[in-house]
Amino acid sequence: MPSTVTTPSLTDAYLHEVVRRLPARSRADVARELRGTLADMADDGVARGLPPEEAERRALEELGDPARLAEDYSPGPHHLIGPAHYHDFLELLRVLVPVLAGVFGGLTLLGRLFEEAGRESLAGYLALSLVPALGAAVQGALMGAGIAVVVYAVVERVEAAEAAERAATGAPEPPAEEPPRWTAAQLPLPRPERDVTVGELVWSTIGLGLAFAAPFLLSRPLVREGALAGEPLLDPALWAPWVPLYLLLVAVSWGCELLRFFRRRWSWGLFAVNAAVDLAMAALLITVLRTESVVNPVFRDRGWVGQEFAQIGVAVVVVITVWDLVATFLACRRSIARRG
Amino acid sequence: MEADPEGRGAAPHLQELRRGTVVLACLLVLDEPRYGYALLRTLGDAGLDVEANTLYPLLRRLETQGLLESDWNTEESRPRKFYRITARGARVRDALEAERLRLHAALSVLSRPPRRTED
Repeated sequence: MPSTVTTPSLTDAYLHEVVRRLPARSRADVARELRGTLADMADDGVARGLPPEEAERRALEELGDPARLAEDYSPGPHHLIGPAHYHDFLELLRVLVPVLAGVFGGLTLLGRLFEEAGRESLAGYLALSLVPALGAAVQGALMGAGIAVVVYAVVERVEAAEAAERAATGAPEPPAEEPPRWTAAQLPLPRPERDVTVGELVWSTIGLGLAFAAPFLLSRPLVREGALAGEPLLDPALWAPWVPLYLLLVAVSWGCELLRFFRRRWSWGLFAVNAAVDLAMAALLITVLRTESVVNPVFRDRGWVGQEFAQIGVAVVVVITVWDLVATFLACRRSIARRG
Repeated sequence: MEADPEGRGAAPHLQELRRGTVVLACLLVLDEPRYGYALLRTLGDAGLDVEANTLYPLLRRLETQGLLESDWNTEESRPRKFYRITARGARVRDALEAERLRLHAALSVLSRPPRRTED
């Protein structure tokens, strides 16, 4: 029988606290070396006249906090994202968070607007559509942040591992270990400054989302009681060819907004596409206003809506279209002029 | 930690100044294989007070970098890990030593002549 006691000693507990924080392959080796050292240190203490337990305790305290010691041993970064990547990380964050929040929130809103369309009270309908959409937007934002963090934490660790690999395999001459000298030729070409901001994208997404939702909202029963109960404001006949076409054009407009955002600035090509979509939308709306009732005929028969409805509608469409064409033309010209 | 004889604020700078010297000191004495605790005492006897919790991780890093190599000696009752300088380590040591001498000379030029006792 060996005479060693079976209860773990202070030294065992200490070594366990150190090596459990180290990579598995170095644990046994580090523990063995430290055990020898602690024994030597304790022997010194005993030689100076200390009782053995006291000498052991002092040796451990000299090595200090096991967590700190383990940190000194373990290679690799002890930060998630270091200064070399922090700026790129922030840039990715600024794009991913709003885009994913928008995509998640938007898709959920659409889904709910379809799904809950039969609901009676407008407040309930909006709440049941908007609340899950908000939740999804928050989820999308968190997911965007998570993706950005994971991407750069992985980059950071891969680079550290590569550096350790380079150090271990050993370049023949020490100077060759240094990273290649930075030259001005490595400067990336300046990226065009952003003329199309995230704010613009967010606002246009909200606006187009409302435009997209409008036919669904207007197809809901306007009043619940009386002779007109259950009748929607929008002429149900309009759904056959027109509403899907309208929804398609709204979706295409949103695509243009996205394209412009990722191109970062205007070009005459983008202006032309934007103008074409504007004009197509105007043509569609004017055609509908002039050939269809638009308003549910039930209300028209009651005299709620007069003959002038179509004329006012056409005028509004013309004004908005012209205003948008002029505004985008000016923005485009400004953006191109700034480029020099 | 020793007292701060030169007034407040010197301690962090002294630490900074000493930091790189531990590597050079290790490389200078490890022509002969030594285990960690013996090295610690050698350095201490020479007047370099290095903490054990600094030295052991450092030895391992130098080994990973290929400047030191190690062998376990299990012949004695207590197994010990002996470190020895490699050829690459010797080149690094020579470069560090040359730089230390150069810095010493450069700083000697800059440092003021010893202050005279006040009248």
